[in-house]
Amino acid sequence: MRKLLNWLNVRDYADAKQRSATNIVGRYARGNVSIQNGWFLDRSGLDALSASGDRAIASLKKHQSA
Amino acid sequence: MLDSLHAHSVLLSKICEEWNKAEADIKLAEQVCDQVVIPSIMELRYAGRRLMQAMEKIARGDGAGEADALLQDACFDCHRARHDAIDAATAQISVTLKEAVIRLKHEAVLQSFPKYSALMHALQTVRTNIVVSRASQEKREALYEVVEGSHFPDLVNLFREFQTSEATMVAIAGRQRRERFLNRFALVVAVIGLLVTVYFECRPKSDQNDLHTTATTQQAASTAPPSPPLSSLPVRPSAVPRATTARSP
Repeated sequence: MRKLLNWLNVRDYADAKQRSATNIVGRYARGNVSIQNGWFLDRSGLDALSASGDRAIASLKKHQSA
Repeated sequence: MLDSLHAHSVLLSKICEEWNKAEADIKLAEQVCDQVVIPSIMELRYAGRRLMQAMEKIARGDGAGEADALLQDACFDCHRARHDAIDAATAQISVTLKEAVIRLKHEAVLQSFPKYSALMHALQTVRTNIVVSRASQEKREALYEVVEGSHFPDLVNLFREFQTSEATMVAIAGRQRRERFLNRFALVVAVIGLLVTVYFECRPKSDQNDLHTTATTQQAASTAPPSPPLSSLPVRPSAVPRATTARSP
């Protein structure tokens, strides 16, 4: 059912593009096993990491001042 | 140390030039897909490491040959970063076009992006140059410079136009898929209805007789005179309660 909904909403196209980008990055990352295995951050991942870092620093500052 | 650096100035300026070219190629490739530049960035990272090691050797004043080799390595890493950026971006464009044609179909792609054939031609030109460069190592640098000069920027510009039309393509493809799904659903329902009709028309005679008997019984039951209402039924005298009479005192 989910597959059918994805097909009807053309989400399979975006998924295929994402998969192909991951494959290409893995193919050209010579010698770097982590990247070849798909362990890398794209722009959205970096943004999420940055936001969580900001939150952690704000929380630390709050605890430090208290 | 300055004298030592001056001895490597030719190589250092070459690294600087290659690094700038790599940055430009990475910037172009990033417009295709932000993920595909990761291998190039890693190559620049390795180049930076080699550069730092060479600087350390030069600062200590020993191993001029080793510093030279490290600088050569850094220059080679910059070359690889440039080539990786072009190769990865071209591969991503190729795969995206293939997926678009397979999943969204030609009709949706051509309807919203009429320059599809021009984009394919630009892609083929770049890929042909890449294939030729792989065949001859002497001409590789010259071929990549030609690609960087005009073919690759043209390809990226066309692909950016394709990307702006992608939302329209997806909308058209979605509408076509929904229509196809409804058509198939209607066809399946029609076929099932036809099969049921054929079954009831062509089934064995005994079944039909049974059905006829059942239908006759049901009809007889339905045509029987209706039962009279309770009020019109004769009542036995014993069943009627005796009327009570008021006694005189």
